[in-house]
This record gives sequence, C-alpha cells and structure tokens, in this order.
Amino acid sequence: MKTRLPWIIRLLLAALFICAGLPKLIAPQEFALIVFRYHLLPDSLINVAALLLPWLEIVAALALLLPAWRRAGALWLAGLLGLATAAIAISLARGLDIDCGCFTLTPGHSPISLWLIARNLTLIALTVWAGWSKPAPTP
Amino acid sequence: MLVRASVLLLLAASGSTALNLVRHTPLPLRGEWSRHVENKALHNGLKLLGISALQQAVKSGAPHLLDARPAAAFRAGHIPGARSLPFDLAADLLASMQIELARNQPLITYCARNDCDEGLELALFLRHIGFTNVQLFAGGLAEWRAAGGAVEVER
Repeated sequence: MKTRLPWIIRLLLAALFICAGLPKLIAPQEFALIVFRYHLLPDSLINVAALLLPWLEIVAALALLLPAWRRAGALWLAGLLGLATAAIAISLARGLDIDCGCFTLTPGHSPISLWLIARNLTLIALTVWAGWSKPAPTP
Repeated sequence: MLVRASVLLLLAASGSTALNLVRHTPLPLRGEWSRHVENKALHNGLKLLGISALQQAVKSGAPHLLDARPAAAFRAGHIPGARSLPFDLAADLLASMQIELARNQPLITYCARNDCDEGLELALFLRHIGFTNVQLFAGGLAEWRAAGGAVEVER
C-alpha cells in the first residue's frame, strides 16, 4: 500500500485539477469576469489568463501521471496554486467580496475565505510531495 | 525539468489558442475591462457588493434593495424584497415622495446583469443627491438567478 500511495495521490490530484480546469475551459467569459474581479492583473492580461490558465491546469494535471513529466507538472500545479492563494489572501486583505473561481464558476458557491487559503496550502504540500517523492525500489 | 515545464506551457498555449479560434464566440485576447461597469464604479468610489453579501442582506431583510430597471422588467421578475426605482424616473419618484428613504440608510442598487449601466447610474445619482451609504450589486438579476436565488414576480 505504501508503495502505491504516491501514485494514488497523483491520480487523485490529477482528477481534482482536471475537474477544476474544465468549467473554466468551457466558459472562458465567466472565468475572465472572475479573474477581473480580483483586480490584480492589467486589463490587457485578463482574457489571456482566462484562456491559458485552465489549459495549463489540465495539461499539468495530465503530466503528473507520466513518470518523466510529473515534476514539470507538479511544478506548474504548485505554482498555480501559489498564485491563486496569494490572490485570495490579497483580496481578503483588501476586503473584496468575490468568488474564488477555483472549482466552480457558479456565483456565490465559493466565496474567498481563510479556509480556501488553508485548503490551497495543503494542496501545494501534497502536489510537491507527489511530484518529488521517490519511486519505490523494485524488489 | 524546466525544459519540460516550458513544453507544457507551449502545449497549453497552443491548445487554448486553437480552441478559442473554433469557439462560436471567441474570447478576444484583449478585453474592454476598463469600460466594465465594476471598474467605473470603483473609479467613482462606489462600494461593490458581492453575491454572498447580497444573499445575506436579502435573508436579513435589512437594507433597501433598489431595482434600477424599467418598471415592466421589475414586474416580470426581481430580487425578493426589492423596490422599483427606474434610473430615468428616480429624480421624479424621489421628489414626489412616492419613495421615501432616509439619507443614511444602506441602499443597494442593481440592474439586469453585469453589462448594464442603470444600477451604476442610479447609485451615482443617489450618492450625488446626498445618500451616504449606497452600494452597487454589479452582477444584477442575472447573477442572482445564476446563484440559485428566487425571483419575485408582481401580479
């Protein structure tokens, strides 16, 4: 079981990030509005980010499942989570009342909160571990 | 690892560009966000209200919610507890005392969705004539509905 754990975690993380990326990929207009409401990016980068981020999330999630690519995938996923966490923390400090846009684009279903920061930090730790854990030695 | 990370970025960029090109309504790479109603509100010093805060406000029933759309649109469906104050008639309705509001009362304005201007214009007008606690719910009735909110219809 212990030897399979990193693989199971990678599989779960990949599924999670694919589920997170798909709604944004399907509805870029709605996701762009969520990115805009953070008021952190210049106007010229909002739509580019809304188009690119979901793809990066999904491509990196798939890479996590390929042994030769898993570190590159984990690097992107941890980086994206880090950026999202920083954006949430800054917005909370500014007193903004906005949706996270992390896993759903439905208004009011995921308002930013300290809980989301704790969740993201846990996911970052898991992603780094899943990306850099050594494969079990073959008997 | 950095080379592979760059390849992943290239793959994502190619995929997003290709999919956007074949979309029925592609997202323009450069959006007109500076003209967005929420940006205009912030530049005018108005406070924006998010959907979760509005849901709580409607539940508690405390602040006055003002629908800035035309009266016919209001009658067809509005956020529960809202009062109709069409932007173009606001001055007359307030002057004729058909609508009485205290100057320091919390007021929330909204219109149809996040690309309409009446909610913003009404909020700015109310602040201009002396109301001190005006907020804009920029998502409008569309965002309220999308969040699963009930709609009241006038019979």
